[in-house]
Amino acid sequence: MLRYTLRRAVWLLPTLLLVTFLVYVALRLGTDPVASYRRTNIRASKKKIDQYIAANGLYSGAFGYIRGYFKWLWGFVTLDWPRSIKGSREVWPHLKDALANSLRLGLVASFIGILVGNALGVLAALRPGRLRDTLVNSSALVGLAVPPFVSALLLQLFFAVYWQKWFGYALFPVSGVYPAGHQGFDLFLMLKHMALPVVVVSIQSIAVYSRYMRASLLDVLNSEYMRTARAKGISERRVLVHHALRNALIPVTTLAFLDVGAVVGGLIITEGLFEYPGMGRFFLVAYSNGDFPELMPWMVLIIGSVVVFNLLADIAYAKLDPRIRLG
Amino acid sequence: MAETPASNLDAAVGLTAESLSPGRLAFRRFLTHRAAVVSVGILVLLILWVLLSPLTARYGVNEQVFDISQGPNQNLPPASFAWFGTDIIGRDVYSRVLYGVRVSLIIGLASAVFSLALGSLIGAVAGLKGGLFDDVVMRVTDVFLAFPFLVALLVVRNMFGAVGWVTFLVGEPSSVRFMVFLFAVFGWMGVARVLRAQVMSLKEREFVEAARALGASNARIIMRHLLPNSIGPMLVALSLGVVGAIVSEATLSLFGYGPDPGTGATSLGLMVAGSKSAVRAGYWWLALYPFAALLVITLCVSFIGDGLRDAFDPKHGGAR
Amino acid sequence: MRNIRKSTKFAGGLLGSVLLLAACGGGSDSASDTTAAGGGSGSGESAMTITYDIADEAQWEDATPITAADFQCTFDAAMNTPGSISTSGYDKITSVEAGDSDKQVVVKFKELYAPYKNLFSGLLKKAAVADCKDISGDFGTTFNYSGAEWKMDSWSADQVVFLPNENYWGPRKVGEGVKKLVMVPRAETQITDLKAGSVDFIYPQFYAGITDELADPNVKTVLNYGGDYEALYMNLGVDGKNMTADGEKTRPFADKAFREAFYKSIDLDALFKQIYIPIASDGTLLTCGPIIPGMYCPEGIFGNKYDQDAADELMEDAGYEKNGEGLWAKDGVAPKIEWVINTGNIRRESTQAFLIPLLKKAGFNVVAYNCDADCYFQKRLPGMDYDLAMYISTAPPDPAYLVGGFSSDQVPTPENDNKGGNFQGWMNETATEALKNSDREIDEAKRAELIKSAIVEMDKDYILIPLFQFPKSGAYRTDRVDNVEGELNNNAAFNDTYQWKDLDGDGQIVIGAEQWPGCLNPVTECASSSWYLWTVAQQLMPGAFRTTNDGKYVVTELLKSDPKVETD
Repeated sequence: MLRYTLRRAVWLLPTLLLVTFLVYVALRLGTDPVASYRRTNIRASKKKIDQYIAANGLYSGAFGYIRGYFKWLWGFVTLDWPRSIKGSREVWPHLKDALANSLRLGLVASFIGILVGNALGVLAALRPGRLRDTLVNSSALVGLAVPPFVSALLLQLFFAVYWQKWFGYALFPVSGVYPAGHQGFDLFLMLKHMALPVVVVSIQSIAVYSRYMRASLLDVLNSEYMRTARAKGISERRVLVHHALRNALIPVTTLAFLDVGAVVGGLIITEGLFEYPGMGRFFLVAYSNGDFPELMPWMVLIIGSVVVFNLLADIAYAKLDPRIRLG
Repeated sequence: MAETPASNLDAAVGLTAESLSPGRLAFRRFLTHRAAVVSVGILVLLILWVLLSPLTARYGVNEQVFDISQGPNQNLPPASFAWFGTDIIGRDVYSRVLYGVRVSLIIGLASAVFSLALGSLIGAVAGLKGGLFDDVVMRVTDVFLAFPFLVALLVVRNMFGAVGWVTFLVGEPSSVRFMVFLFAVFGWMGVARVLRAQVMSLKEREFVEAARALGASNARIIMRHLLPNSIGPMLVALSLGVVGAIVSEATLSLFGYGPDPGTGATSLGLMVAGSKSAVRAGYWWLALYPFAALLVITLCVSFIGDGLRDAFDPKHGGAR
Repeated sequence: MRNIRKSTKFAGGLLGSVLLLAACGGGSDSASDTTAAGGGSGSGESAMTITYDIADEAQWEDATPITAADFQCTFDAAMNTPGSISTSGYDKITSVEAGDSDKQVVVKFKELYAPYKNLFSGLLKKAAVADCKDISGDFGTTFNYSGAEWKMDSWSADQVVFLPNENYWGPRKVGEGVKKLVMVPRAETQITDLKAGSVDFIYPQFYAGITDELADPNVKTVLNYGGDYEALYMNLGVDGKNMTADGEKTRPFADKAFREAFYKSIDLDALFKQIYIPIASDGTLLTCGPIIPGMYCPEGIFGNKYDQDAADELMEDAGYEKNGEGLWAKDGVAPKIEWVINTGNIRRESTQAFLIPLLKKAGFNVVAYNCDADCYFQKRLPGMDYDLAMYISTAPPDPAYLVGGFSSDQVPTPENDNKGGNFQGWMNETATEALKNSDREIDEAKRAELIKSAIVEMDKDYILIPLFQFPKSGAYRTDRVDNVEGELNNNAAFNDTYQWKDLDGDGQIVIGAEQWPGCLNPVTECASSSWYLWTVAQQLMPGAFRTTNDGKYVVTELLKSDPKVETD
């Protein structure tokens, strides 16, 4: 087990470097950071532009990309981050807030999705082909086919606009983290504001997990060794809990790890629909400004999280599934 | 009860139990999946309806139901001259839904086929070669798989949009061709993983080892032995890919990165995404019909995918 | 989210510059006026002197007085800060100095400058910045001073909170019972938020169907016609060609007959009924050119000139004939007309979808050439990479913006470092002469004649098709706020928040903002959006002049009286 973990962990750093380099190249080609800087700071002197190029390592030429990447990397790990091109603001404070907001939303939604989705999946798998199964399976398909902006729109109309019309107040707010003008921390208000976005995200993840769990559990239930267990006279309940569920959870766990890893990226669509200031919004604004100093740290956070959680998922898979050959 | 339609059909095409190959067996099992069979029927009807659009559409894609000089033609509710109502510049929503279905189906099918091809190739080669090559490919796949889809689309869209030969090959970023290209580039990972796993398990089996012993090349083994045996998972991946591409196109349209409505083109995603304010304003017909069409297509394709999976891998399905 | 992209081109480079800088005009944000040196007199002498007398009691939020040093600082920052979006107007100034006391400011100009009322409309506080010559590093996290009725309490990506400035000295004191003014970014949800009661007021850009969306017993929508106008602009190219070196493409609109025939092939009345009547049923076709009705609007020009026979004749005389597809072609080539708009703007997309088939029928090979707002307004337009463009300009009341947008020396060319706001490549000496002189003509009536004569030339040359004076609109909850309708038509929108009344008793007024400034610096790119002006600057920065609801300039409480203007 340790050997396997080490073997996989060795890949961590090269993967990170390779992917951040690819993203670096993609961003430089796709957003043209120097041109964006000049567009944003139109009267900038030659000296200022050179400073910007030097601070970000935006050297030209094929070799300049490699040299520039390492220059950027060095600045990044020594926490000497260049300032944003628009308004010359420090990147981390803003990024930190966005990250906290996204993590909160994403983790709650993932938690609900995993819990409810798996429960529904188990329910469906226990009676395959019956009404219960058909119901769960078809609703999951509908849940997957409805784009999030449709469900968001309907929820907003019902819980805010019409609720206000019928009862004189909106049951759930449709935007932001707190009501306008609120300052400081307040758990209740925060949860209230998260309610609708969480539902929108959960619909999708419940659909995914219920289908996944159903398939996985059916796999196990129909396998040879379950038949053996039953034949040995072990009670159905015990079979289910001790053997089937445990085994069925293996692939689901992997998926959950991957999902949680991706939470850092924020939920671009949902955050937009609910004016929620998370990582997704951060990216969209930075991207439309071509703000290279803001985009790179954002990308590193995402890539880092994705790569690390991928590793964790693989290790968890290997640990949970004794059939895996560790080499 | 579930057996009746299938057995009737068997009798009709003269199938007997002895003559059943694995493919035919799967086909027979597919026929017992009622939702999937109904979905095939609906999709075929829909495709016919769209293919016959010169006959079935009532107006051109940009044609107004009547000229503005004869009175206001904007946002009219369903009426005899426009079954699904009219849109913001007086065009027939029914006819536009037909054109939209066509574009969405093209995007869905083409993207799925291309990403299937790309994914199968990568997955099969990685599975066969193994070792370091496999490690690298799978790490890259992981990152592609977990990277926020929309972020990747936007960045790569810009990057390729700025490269002359790419736009020459696949068109401007707002063209259907470019979108198919994008979805293919970001749609192959699932297929690759599935196929790799399939190949890994198949390659230990006797018939592949036998072929190898006889001196068959990797390419030959892939073409003649592995691909035909992986047809089930690939068909399922295809159905997932179709749904994924259609929904992705709708999402891109929401951000204004979909097909360009100024060119007169339309897709279901574009129509649904563009109807947000219409819903709030009470012009429900602008949202309902395109959305219903989108839902019908994605549901049908999903059910067919389910049916295919059960057909090729009966463990999953259970009786229906 | 499409709302994010639903932006307009702020002609004036935009409103932010109106606030602090001169009325610079059609995107002349990048124009450093190259003619300035020519008209001026020698160094040391001045052609015009303006003396401002600052009110004795005028003071900042910390009770320190507002003095001539703050005027100097404002001038230095606009001229020298690397990211300064516009220097126009300030580049005519030779010196800003204290007069008899530090409450008197003497500003010397090297040449006559008519639109001087746009200068010093947003003052910097010298003590609030480290170095007046480069303030690009200031205002990172908050706007740390105020000389107006509000002061900033906090600012984030999520909201901006203002509290009444208790040291404000003037007549615009915040009303009783209002403790907070809050603005929140609500691009996507503004209408839902208003109907759900989580914001009190929104100021959305109008589109067809929005009144139906806003229909609610507790919501009132106000529609006014301010300085915004939408038009179709033709690109004549530089010498009739692409501006950039890479293309050999000839611009079809370089040919005047082609432009005229194109104009006459569009039935503007039908277009108006189709696109604009659903937005505002009482609207009328704009016929003034790139300006709104008023003293600068010439009579009897532009408007609907639809005449298909005349258009056909013009084309035939110019050597075109219809090819197999029914398109006008010369030497076998049907010139392609690339029409650019920003994707996601439903009104403009509808206009294309409506007009392109009709224009094809009339023989013009028009194709959509669209891209997102950034690409459109920051690449295609300044790069003159289009044939036909459609956008809204948000113009200040003073017509000085026309100089930057239509003078022939403002066409971006290598000679002027590709800077300049004349993105149509229109070179007309008569008009340029008139526009240049208008900047130096202090007499209002004579100045108006000069402006009008330049606009008449635009009509004669068929370089643009004015469409619609665009409505400015506010919507508010009648159960939450009152007295908000006073200044909605103003170039500076809701700049009278001090007199808004809070009806629901929560002590705060909440405004949902359609766009959100990403940063706070008043001279850099941050200030280039009108939403920056509305949400930040005008609530905090004192200035010499303020615009009124009916498009006039009035002196503010900052000055004792109108500044004294002396010319040689």
